Amino acid sequence: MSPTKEEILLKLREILVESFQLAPEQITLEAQLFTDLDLDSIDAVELAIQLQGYTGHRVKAEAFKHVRTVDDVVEAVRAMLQSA
Amino acid sequence: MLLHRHCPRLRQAGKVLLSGVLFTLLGLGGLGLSLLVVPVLGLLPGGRAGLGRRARWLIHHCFRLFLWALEAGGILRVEARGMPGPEALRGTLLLCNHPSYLDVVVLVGLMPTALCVVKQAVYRSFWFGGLVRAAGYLPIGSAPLLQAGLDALHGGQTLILFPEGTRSTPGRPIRCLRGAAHLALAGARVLPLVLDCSPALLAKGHRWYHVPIETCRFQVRAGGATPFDPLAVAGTTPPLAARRLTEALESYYNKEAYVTDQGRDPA
Repeated sequence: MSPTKEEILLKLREILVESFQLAPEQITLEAQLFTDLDLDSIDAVELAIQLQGYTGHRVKAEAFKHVRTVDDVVEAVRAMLQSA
Repeated sequence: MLLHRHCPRLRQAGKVLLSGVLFTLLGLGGLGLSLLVVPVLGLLPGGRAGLGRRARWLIHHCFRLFLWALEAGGILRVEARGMPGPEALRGTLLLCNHPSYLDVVVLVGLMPTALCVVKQAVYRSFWFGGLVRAAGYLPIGSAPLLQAGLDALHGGQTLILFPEGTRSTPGRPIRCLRGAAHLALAGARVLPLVLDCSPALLAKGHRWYHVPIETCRFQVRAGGATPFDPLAVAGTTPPLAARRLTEALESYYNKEAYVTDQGRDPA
């Protein structure tokens, strides 16, 4: 049974709050990672490491190539969990 | 000149005229050097490094001339304090707050060989982009900037970086981007410089014709201790460490720099 979209968002929110000092209410599905949430390339590496810990899979670079919003990350994680 | 002293309005008009002439020269001079001189410099021996060295020498001397005209015209007066010599600055990352458009002119005028980190708009500029690229300046927004910056520092270059990424907004606290913190975390040796320009001159929102009637006192001083607090980052991940160091840098500049409230509304 793979987690629902809501469950993935909850986990992602937890990771973003802890890793990047963000406020939980900033993290909506529409929020843009690199503008609204002010993440940079070094943060992206950290996010990949954290998601790796969550999914238990290696996060492939191409899965995250076109990620722009929180929703994109949720979808990428869901695809990863389903394909496994 | 006597007339100037007795007629403030004429003095003001003279300064605005001089500012217009100098800005025009900056653009045309930049274009002329980019189109005519840079290709010739590229033919001289020494390859890419040689071209960079000569282009930086050229920019340094043009800015010296520019500063001489600004000082002679009573627009500004540069006062540098506690600046280490070029040898001591090798391999050093200079962080500077950014009160004025002329900051880079003053800094490069003081330091003949320094490399600057510049905005894409400057790197791609129609007017002086050719010269900027020849000088080997590093553009923001290209992915390997962090590595390029570290390589330059390890190679003994002096790197000038404005951590705010753009000019300060007059009357508002200084806010920094995280690039400076990332370089410091990667081991760069950092020297903070504090720039003060009073009254404000060519601050954010100003146009070339916004020239104060008084001579602006343009101070550059080398800060003392590092603005980065190593205790702030003990035992954290790189993203959190960068955020804590950036906060430390912001509070350093908000304490050290005279935050001018004399900005004008954009015309």
